[in-house]
Amino acid sequence: MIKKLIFLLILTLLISTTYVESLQIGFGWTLDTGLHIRVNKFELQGVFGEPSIYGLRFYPINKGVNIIGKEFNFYSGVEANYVSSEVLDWGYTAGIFAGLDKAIFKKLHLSLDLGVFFSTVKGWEEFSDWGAAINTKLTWYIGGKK
Amino acid sequence: MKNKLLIIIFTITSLFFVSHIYSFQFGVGTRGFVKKVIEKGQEEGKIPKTKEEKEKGKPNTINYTGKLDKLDLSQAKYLFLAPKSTSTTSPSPSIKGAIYKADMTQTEKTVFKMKENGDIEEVNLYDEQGNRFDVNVYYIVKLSTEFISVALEIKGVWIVTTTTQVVNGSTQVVTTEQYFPVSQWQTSVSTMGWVDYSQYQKQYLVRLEDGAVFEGRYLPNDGNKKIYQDMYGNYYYILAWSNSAWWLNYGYGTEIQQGSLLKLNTKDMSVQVVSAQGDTIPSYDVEAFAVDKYGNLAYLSMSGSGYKYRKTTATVDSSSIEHQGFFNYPIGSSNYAVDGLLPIVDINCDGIYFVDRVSEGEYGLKNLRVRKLECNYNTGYEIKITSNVDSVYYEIVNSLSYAKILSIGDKEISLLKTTSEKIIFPTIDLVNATTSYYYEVNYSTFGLVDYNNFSNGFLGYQVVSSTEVYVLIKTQGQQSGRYKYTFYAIYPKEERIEKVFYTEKYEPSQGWPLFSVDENGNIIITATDLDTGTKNVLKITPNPSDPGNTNNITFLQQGNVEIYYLVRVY
Repeated sequence: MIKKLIFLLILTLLISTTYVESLQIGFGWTLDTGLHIRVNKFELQGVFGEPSIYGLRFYPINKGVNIIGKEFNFYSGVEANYVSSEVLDWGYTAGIFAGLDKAIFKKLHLSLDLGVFFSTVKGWEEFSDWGAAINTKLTWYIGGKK
Repeated sequence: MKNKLLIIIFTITSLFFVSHIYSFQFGVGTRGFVKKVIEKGQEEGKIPKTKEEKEKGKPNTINYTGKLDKLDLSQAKYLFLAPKSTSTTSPSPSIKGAIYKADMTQTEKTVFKMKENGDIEEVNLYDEQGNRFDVNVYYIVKLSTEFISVALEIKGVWIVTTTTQVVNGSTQVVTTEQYFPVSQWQTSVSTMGWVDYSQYQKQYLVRLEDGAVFEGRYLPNDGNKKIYQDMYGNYYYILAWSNSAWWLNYGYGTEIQQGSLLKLNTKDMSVQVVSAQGDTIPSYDVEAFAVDKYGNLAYLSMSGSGYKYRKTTATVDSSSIEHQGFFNYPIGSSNYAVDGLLPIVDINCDGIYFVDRVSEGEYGLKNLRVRKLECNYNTGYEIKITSNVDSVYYEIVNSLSYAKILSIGDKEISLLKTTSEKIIFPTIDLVNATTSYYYEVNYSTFGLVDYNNFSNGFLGYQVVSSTEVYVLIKTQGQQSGRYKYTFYAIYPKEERIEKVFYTEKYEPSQGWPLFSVDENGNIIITATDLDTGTKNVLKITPNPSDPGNTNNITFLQQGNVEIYYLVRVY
């Protein structure tokens, strides 16, 4: 609960800075019931449920690409999250991802990326595994050049 | 261009990871992925399944040896493997009808039994205390009416505990089962701290009479197409690669060379190499070796020269002679033999025969010579020349070594041999050394056009008796994209062939054995219904007067999971 409140507080603070033109700010939700805030190349995200994850995405690569005559933004980066679950003592997951982003309505962007992730969780014992994940997000950009 | 390059590099890097990791979870969303990881950890007993479980703490590890003792094979008529229905979350599995469950995600298999009354039950595997194992079974191989061989991995155990509770003033006995995966067994954790799963991947012989289990090494596996038994209860087979229990193959070649001929003594589960040092024998060829009931054997050595034979037991005729040496039987021009069949044992396993094509005599290459290998106390290793066969059909002696043995009677050999135009069924009388019968069937009879089609269309045969053989033929079907599967009964001695059943609706599983025949001459086969996709065990009653009638089929089993290694128990 406390973690959710902290996250909402950060969200409020960031929204209050949306009129700062030098920052490229966006906020939105992921399709697996999460929220995120984008500030330039960084994105704070929280996906709620059982388990919940809280983490940061870093987007160092952003390039315009033309696919079948349409302009997309290709992006790639890294992601790290803390995992919270009632059956875990703790858990972490991190990975790399790459995907495409497109404005679908004014400053509302839809993004889809595929990532390779590694996760370590601790229940009774530590357990780790590899895998892949598809992430889809809707982001409304308020400030900046988007 | 740069971006495309980045995409390509990313994709290739991802694929590289996929092929180099032990397992791979996939999730929709990062949270979805994490969820899968947690579920995997829960399966392995490392993560609690509920908050309550977590608060309660990890169940104590148990000091447990995990020794498999018995399979419940009572009333079993057929055994087969199918995806298991139970999971660790279901301590009290619904056994009856479990195979009907539409759980296509289940890849681990276990043994099922089909009982006399047609009921199907999952076979329970027990330890000495009556606790039930959770296993993944890789194959079932029938050695004889006495034993089957299985390879399995023990995944966990349901420990049975009995307690007494006082309910409404009366004492009641309550039995509960608690599941412990091998990761919670103290004996399974190595001194290095990890769970040594390999110690629970083992081979066993199972006695069909009572389900008793005997652990062993280098036992017959699913790569063995032929297993002989002598009168003392020993089994003879090639050390073959297993197709399904891949972990078995890692041990091969270190102590015993793959391709060696082995003798298994079921009294003490000892395995002895009975082929000559350095010799290897092809395991896929059912005719590459022969063993008689006295334990004498002959084989074709792939690495040596020609055929070898030896006496492997010292107990014949109560003699105390132990013969260790090998004797060579020449192939080729030596002693006028041009070429011959692989060593053959008669149906009663009374003796081993060599049948050669020889160039001597009035009929030139049309002569056959039959020799019986008699290895008893009186004859030692003398080869008795039974006789030269008089003139036989040229097609019999031509390329004789490519013939198939359909049946071996007490005193005669019936062969199946293909030519470019037809199949011939000669029967050689071993006593009188003549071609006692000859019967041929043109490919056109089966709707097959030429030799190549024959190769693709002749799926296999089963000897019903010394005078009757079932043949399964695959031809083009009437419906587009479908094949027609036809069973023929061939009676070579009566020069008669009958179409006993055909279908385009069911596609037989082309495993090993391809099909079996029950005590009443019915064909038992696993097959997929091409209309519905259901997997079936069919009992086909041969019906020459109406072979296409669907009433010829009795469904022993219908379900949506694949069935493997169907074996007849009795």
